[in-house]
Amino acid sequence: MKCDEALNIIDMYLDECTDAYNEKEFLEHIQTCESCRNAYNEIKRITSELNNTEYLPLPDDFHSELTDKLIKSGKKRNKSRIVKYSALAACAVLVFMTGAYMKDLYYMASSGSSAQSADSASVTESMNGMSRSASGEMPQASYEPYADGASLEGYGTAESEAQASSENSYSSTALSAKEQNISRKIIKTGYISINVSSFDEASQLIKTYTEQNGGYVEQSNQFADYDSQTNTYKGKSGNITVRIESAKFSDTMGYIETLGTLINQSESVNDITNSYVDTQSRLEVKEQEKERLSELLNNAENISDIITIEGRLTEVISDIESYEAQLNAYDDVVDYSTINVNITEKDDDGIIPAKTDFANKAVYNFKDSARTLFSGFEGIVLLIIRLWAPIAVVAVIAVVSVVFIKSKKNKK
Amino acid sequence: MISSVNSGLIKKARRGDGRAFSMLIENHERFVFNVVYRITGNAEDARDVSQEAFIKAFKNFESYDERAAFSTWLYRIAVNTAIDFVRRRKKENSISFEDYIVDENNQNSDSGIEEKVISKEGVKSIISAVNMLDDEFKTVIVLRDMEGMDYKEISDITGLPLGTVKSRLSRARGKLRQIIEKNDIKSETEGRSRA
Ligand SMILES: [Zn+2]
Repeated sequence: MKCDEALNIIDMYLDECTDAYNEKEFLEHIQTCESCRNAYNEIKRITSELNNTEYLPLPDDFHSELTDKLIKSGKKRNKSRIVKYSALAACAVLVFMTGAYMKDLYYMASSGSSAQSADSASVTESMNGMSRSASGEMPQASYEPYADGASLEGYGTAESEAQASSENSYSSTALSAKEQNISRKIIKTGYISINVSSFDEASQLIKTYTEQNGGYVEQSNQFADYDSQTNTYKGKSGNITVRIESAKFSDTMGYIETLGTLINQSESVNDITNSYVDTQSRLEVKEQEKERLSELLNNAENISDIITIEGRLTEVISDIESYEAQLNAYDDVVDYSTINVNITEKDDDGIIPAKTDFANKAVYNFKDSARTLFSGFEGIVLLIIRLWAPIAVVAVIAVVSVVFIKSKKNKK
Repeated sequence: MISSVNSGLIKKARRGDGRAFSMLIENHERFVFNVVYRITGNAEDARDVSQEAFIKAFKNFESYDERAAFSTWLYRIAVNTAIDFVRRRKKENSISFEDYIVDENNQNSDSGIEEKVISKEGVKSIISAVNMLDDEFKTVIVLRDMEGMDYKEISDITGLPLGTVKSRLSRARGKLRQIIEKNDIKSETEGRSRA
């Protein structure tokens, strides 16, 4: 072995990288060659001395000072995030207001020729909102909302969204019939819109049929329809959400169709097998982690470890619970199909029945009275919207630009 | 890989929770402080620079990939921050460079000093000799010979290929040896840095 070769090997030898050269040859060379031996000894001395240098202790207040700095810089981040979100929210308001303003204009242009009641529009909208919440997907509604009621559409949508979110809770209620086998997981959702001569009769028939077949009515609502122009009562309309065993889905759809004049009907099929299996495996992983953490907790030696482990364990348990709830919800929607029925009280020939008895009128729920109120003060409200929208648009633009400038300044 | 026990803290820290991040790094503070100290060669600077590194890490925590070792990620930021600092300082001091005199005590000996400006008193400790190395050499010496990291870890932290780490370390040791021989540093004279 030559000297320069040996000198190159010294570092690897000291660093215990013994596979890159012939160790025996190297050691032989070191023994015979004095200059290489000196170099070796010198480097060995230097590295071992460096290796033995002691760590300085941390300055006393290092940790507390650093923690303060970190918390401060964390808050700053949150602030800038809030600025971002509020700018986003402002933009959303801007878009919404612009939309409302346009609709307002549109209404003014078309208000003379409104044949359908404005209420129908919000009922339809409400139905859409409901079916969204029921299937968890976004099924395309097969019927168009009546455009003539445009000025009230925004109102109806907002309302139905609130309604949808309050009804979301059904999905987290567990069903006992949980199938363990992984067959295809398919969610069926149906939509039917019918005109009937008696709303009460039709809805009672649907309820009875469903219950006789082992299903249940998940949710229902009804409205009193008024003609927006003449303010005369036109009859009832409403929605019923039926949950029925998937095997009886088609039969039930067929039965409901026979109860009146079919206006619209559609079905959607959604295969969630992948999401289902995915959630199952996530759950397994979390359960394994839970076991591991429990073991760690039993063997923990100091308080800070215990606190950390317990904190993590709490999170894992809550993850497990949410995955289980998710699976139960999947099982629920797979085992029980959803049928959304929209019923409107109307004679077959389209003539509105003259049911003006007080009892029928008294059926108003909160939404109806709000809507009635709305239609009663329609003129005033529309006037307010008309004046308000342009002002709001200007105000929002001002707010957005101020926020924007501020956040830019913050960055600098 | 951070132990699974810590992943709750990681989540919080990612959301911008400074206290959670502070808990996450607590066990690394002394190590990072000392690595930075060895690169900057000055305890006061090491305090500021290591805290700067931790804050940088916190602000960029989103870029941390949990499959990689947390310590490696953290030390990489610390080493880079320290090297940046030393370079900055060298630029600022370049005018008065010729007049630079190494502190007798060596405690405060500045880094980035080139051999040509070594004071007449000479270099009295191996630490001060290390401080005379160029940044690129000093870094590998600090990480390998002072922190005891293996080639792979050094490669991960510095981003240098393994082969470069090996050759740079070899050259760094050679230079260190030259500095020490030139200044006749004896290991027996080192009180402060002996174990
Ligand atoms: Zn030789």
